[in-house]
Amino acid sequence: MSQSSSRIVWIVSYPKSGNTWFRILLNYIIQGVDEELDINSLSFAPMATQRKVFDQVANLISSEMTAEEIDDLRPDVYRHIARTAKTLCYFKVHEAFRCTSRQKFLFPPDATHAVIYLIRNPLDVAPSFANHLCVSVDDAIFYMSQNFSLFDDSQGRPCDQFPQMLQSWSGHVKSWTKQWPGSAHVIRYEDLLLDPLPNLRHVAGLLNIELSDEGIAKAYELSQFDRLKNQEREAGFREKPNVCTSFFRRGQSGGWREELTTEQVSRIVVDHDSVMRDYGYLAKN
Amino acid sequence: MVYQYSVFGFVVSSPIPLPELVPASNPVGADKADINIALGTVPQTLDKAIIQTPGYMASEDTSLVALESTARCMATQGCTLTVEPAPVVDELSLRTFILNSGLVALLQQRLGMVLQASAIRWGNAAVLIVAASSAGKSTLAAQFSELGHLIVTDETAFLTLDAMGRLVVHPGYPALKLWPDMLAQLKPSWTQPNALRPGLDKTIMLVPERFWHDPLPVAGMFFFRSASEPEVRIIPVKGRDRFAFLAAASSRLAGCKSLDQKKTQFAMTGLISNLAVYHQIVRPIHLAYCENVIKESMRFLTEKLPI
Repeated sequence: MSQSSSRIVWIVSYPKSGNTWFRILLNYIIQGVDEELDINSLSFAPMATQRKVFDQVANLISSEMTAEEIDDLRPDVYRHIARTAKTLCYFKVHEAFRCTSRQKFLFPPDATHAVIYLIRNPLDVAPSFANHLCVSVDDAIFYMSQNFSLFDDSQGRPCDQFPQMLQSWSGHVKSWTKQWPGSAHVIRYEDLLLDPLPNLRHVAGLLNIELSDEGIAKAYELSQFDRLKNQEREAGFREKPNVCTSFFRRGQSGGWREELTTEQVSRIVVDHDSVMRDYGYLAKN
Repeated sequence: MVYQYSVFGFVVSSPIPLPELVPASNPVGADKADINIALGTVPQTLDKAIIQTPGYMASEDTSLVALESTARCMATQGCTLTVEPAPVVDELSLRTFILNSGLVALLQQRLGMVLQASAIRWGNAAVLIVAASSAGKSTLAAQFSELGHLIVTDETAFLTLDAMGRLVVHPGYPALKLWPDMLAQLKPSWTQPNALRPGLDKTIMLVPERFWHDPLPVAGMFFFRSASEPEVRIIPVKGRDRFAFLAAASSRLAGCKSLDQKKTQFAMTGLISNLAVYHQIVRPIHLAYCENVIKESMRFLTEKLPI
């Protein structure tokens, strides 16, 4: 570890970019288990926006604090977690990287061991996001184009998570790859599907995990999308929003070809052209 | 001008009006109050702090809780609460912080147990609803009160052992804090809600006519939580959860404990874990308001603790 208090690993992505699948996969890698785990018992890498975590660490009642007060304390809460952790601790993040109103980094670099940024083709994100929010694909595409989009389940009262500022899909990617003061390790979801071993070997190295290629392959097998879908079908999934029918949908790469109209594809490409090119989702020229 | 109030079994003397509290029925001399609130300077740090978190620190006999935009409060030896308001702060925010954080930090220094819980009167005893903030404690307490069960406390419960060694809960103050969506569902006819503090939708309702003023023996404890389940369930708390749930509910602003405090809490934990009603209420995660919660709770209590 670079510093004794740099112990947080942020697993970051725009929603519906494979973050939950990756968390499950990483959990298998870290635990080194060789049997299937219950997805509803997954406590690994809780959301960084979890109200319970904040309240316990800050010793305050966040539901009686303003959004600005919460924002202002969050970096110190993460620092405290990093300082008191005995091993690396992991958080899932959907928020874009940003500063608080007092110009503090919301995710403090001095508490950070690594940022793993999962990126997925926005053409595949759009239909999945539409299912997640239970809105039309057109609405999801519009949402993904908005710079100040807020991911918020609260409906006027505090829910388990703080509201999350996402930015547009492109803005989200750029916030973590260009504005984050350190270096984010970007992994393409499609590469994880196509050729998992080198990517996972790299992640294991980053996290100081010693695991054989066989161990990584076993973890990958146990976290196959079909297995997660089966578990959800049989016992439900507690992270599924009430409005959508299933959390684990297709998990494929390129499903957009059957799900988007030509006009919808054009809109996404126009909205996110340069970032899509940067990450190989459009030809450079 | 000094105001005197009764709360959690103590007479509190304060230079700041705290209209949420019940005025002391027998005011005492200025130096005779159990708890003295004073305005003054509160240090940024504590010498010999044993516990230190972003909003809180504690040494052996002093605790300091701070929300920079509102106030800093220092609780000393369970008797004195020094308050330093932020340079610009509104009265409601200041009072909310004193009552929810300052007072709790001070109670934690007393001989007893502080739980994040509401309590209602059930016959000649009390039943506690234990949960994290915004889980639905106040809503359920309000629903019980609509059915005639008076409110003993909301959000914070202070428990002690009485002279006969029984576990008792002390009355807090006659207020319920509810979110607008719950208010819309409950449609309470009995009082007008006010904003808890500017910039927040949460409301506070003063309910003196629905408040019980004396300590009550504790007859039951519900741990209230949500889960991805379609129906409300009431299930016993078993195994290690019997202690883990209680430890979690009593951990907020818990400072360093003296030997006497540890002995008392040990005795109280034993009594609590043997309560006839020591159960979880599990409600569907996506239903913040659920008619079946009160129906099931009433049915269960009527069967287990007949009045």
